[in-house]
Order: sequence, then C-alpha cells, then structure tokens
Amino acid sequence: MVFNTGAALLDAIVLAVVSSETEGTYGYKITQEVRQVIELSESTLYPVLRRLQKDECLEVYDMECAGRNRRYYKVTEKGRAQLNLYISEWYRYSAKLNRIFEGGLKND
Amino acid sequence: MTRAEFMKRLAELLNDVSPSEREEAIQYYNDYFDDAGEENEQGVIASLGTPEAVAKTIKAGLADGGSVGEFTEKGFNSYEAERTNEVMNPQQDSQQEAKGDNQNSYDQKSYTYSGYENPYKNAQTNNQQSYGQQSTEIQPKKKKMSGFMIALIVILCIFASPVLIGIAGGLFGVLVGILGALFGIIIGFGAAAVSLIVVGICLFVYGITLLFGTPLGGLCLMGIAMVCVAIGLIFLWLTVLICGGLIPAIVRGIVKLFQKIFHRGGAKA
Repeated sequence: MVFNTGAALLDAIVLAVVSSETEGTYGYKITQEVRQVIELSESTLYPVLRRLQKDECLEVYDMECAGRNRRYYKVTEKGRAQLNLYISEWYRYSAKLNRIFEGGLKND
Repeated sequence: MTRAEFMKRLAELLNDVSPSEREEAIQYYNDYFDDAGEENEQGVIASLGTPEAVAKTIKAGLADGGSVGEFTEKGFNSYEAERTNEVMNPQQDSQQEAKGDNQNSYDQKSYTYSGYENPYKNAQTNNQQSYGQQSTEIQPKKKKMSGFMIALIVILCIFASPVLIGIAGGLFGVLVGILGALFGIIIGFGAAAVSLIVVGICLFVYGITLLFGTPLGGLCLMGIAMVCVAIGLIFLWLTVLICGGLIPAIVRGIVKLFQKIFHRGGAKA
C-alpha cells in the first residue's frame, strides 16, 4: 500500500472489525479481516489487541469451540466510545483531504 | 520449521517478559495456529516471520502498551502522524538494511509494522531498538559538534587576542595622538591669539606716544597694532570654535568608538 497506516487508524480498524461481531471475535478472524483492507504482518495485531485490552477498549473471554478454548475479543463501552471518536475524526479528516484533492483536480 | 518448533522458540524468547504476558501471547498464537488450521500451518509461519520477529513485536507492544492516556494523546493527529511516518520510514528502512538482517521476508513485512508503530514510540521503548538507537546516536553527535564549535571559537579568541589587543592599542594610540595634536593646536592658537592681542595693544600704546614726535611713524605703528589685534582676534575665535564645537564632537565620537570596541570584545569573550 502507498499509505502508511498510523497506530490510531489501525486501532480504529481493529475496533471496527471487532465491534461488527456482537458476540465478539477471535484473533485469527480479526487478522484476516484487517488484512483484507490493509497490508500487515500476521504478527502485527497481537500487540494492538493486547494494548486495546489493557486500555479497556476490548475485553476478552474464553469460549469452548471444537474441543478447545478459544479467546474471544469484544468491544467494551469505552472501546465503542473510542471507535466513535475515531470514526468522526476520520470523516472530518477524510473530508478535508477530499476537498484538497478535488481542489487540486480543478486546478489541473 | 514446524508449528511446535515455532512455538517452542517463541516461548524461549519470551522468557524475559512477565509470566502472564507470556501466557497471553502463547495462547494467542496457539489459538491462531488452531484457527488457521493445520493445512495453513506453513503459510502462517511464513507470514508471521521468525519467532524472533514475533517476540520482538510482542515485547515492543508491551513496552509502550498499557500506558494510560495513550489514546487521548494520540487522538487523531493524522497530519503529524503521517508526516512523521514518512520521515521515519526511510531512516528505519536504511537502518534495517544496514543491520544486514538476512531475514529479508521478515524485514519487508515488518515495514508496515514499524511504519505505524514508530511515530508513537516517542516514549522510547527499550525494545524498539532501531528507533531508540537512532535518537541516542544522533544526539551525542549534535552535542559533539557544538562542543567542537565552542572549542574552536575559544581557541580562535585566544589566538586572535594578541592581534585584538594590538589593534585596540593601536587605535588607542591614534586617539591619544589626535587628542594631543588637538590640544597642541588649541594651546598654540590660544597663545598666538593672546600674544598677538598683547603685542597689538603694546604697539598701539607705543604708536600713540610716537604720534607726538613722528606722527607718520606713530600712525603706521598704530595700524600695524590694529592688524595684529585683528589677527589675534581671529585666532581667539578659532580657539573658541575648536573648544566649543570640535572638542565635544570628537569626545562624543571617541566615546562611541570605545563603546563599540568594548561591546564587540564582550560579545566575543
């Protein structure tokens, strides 16, 4: 990808992916979904998930699945508030960028 | 490398983190392999990179993770974040290349990772070595440079001091000379004026006495006396002019000159 994904943006993407599942989702699935939109190493998300968990934006619980415990991630209230903040900031930011890009096109 | 080998090595590498964090990470990656399925095992290992790389990522996350207020601090300062990203990345890349890491696949993959993690590592985590090293490397360099410059300036001042003192002394001498000359001129003019006037008066008086004996000689003498007095008055006027006008102006000039010299000297020292 041409553009770098900042830590805040990655947090926002992860929170959005996790919040799309009301029952929560697990690491592998989160990684695959995030990797559909941005290029990243499979090892990238663990620290992000762990940090979001420590920041109480995500909560974890174990659920049995196919004879083993799988760790699920779920967005907390705080995480949802954070995600909303990110989303509104993103809209504002991308709108500004769009204005500039469109302005640049007009001048061409 | 099999999954078992990978996990074993990862566990070893995580020996220096807290047991709970190690458990957490091990469980996550075990889950990850389980969820990926046996058929994807090699793909996952290839994508994860080496256990070393994964451990490094985990430790880097621990070092800056959990700090309170990180979210508010980050907010969404995208302009700055993007910019630092762009600035940081080339340095990062070149450093990783310079390291001569032969794990090429890992390096390439970690670019995206380091790209977004680094700008937020201003707190300087010990695990983000590349970034930490960078800043510690650059700062002493800068300090050395300025220290060197200061030393240079000091040495320059020391070596230049004889020259500076010489120049100052020369200037002082010139000034004293000018003052002396001026003083001489004033005294000379004053003396000339006084003597001419005195001589003129004397001649005038002598002329009056001569008038009775030889009127022509007396008149001549009186005329000469008047010319003398007139010249004396001219000298007197010049003297007064020099004292009243020129001297204050020169003194002011000298004071200004000295102020300049001492200011410059003070600034250099």
